[in-house]
Amino acid sequence: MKLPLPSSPLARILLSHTAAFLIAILAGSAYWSAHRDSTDSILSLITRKPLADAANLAFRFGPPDHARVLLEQLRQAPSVPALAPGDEMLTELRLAVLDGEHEPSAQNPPHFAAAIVACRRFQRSNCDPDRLQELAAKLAQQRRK
Amino acid sequence: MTLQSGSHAASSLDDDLRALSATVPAPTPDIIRLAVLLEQGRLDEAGAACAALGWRRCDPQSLVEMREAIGP
Repeated sequence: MKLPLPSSPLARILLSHTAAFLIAILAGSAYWSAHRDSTDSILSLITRKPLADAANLAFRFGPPDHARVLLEQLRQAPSVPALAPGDEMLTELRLAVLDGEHEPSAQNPPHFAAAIVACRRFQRSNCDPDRLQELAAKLAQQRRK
Repeated sequence: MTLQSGSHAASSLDDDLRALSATVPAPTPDIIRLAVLLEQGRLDEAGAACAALGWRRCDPQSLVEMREAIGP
């Protein structure tokens, strides 16, 4: 089958350039779609880091009210989907420590329960409550007296 | 937030944190400032920022431990 190409050289050049332009747009669009998620993830990591560092400092070295404000802020900040359950679990465990939920006497501890839920979103994690209690106890030791 | 050195970095950091103050509750911007100063190794300014926050341990050894806690 023969394509009906225009006979004029100028028309042929215009046609070939238009086709090349359209192909470039389609290729660019496909590339952007394929890499948009990873770009968003990297941006999330970069924008979250200052807040994550500040929350870490406040939890380990600051008074409980400062730590609580920073951890609540960190909880609202967008995270990388692959890392979100881990971030959420750590933040909830730190909030649990601030509220004394890591003590064996704590009853109906909401942050500890939220940490277990976040942990279970990891497919291969050991989310046994005793293990998470140990983790919370280690986090509690990080806080300066 | 851009990380630079010298007085230009200080003004840029303060500008960024001033803008941030409109969207996040206190003391979030001040603690982020402390974290950035520690990360940049500006321990004298970090000590002053730590004291302004009213934290109990702002001595040089504690500041070094804080810096290690947030990593490189």
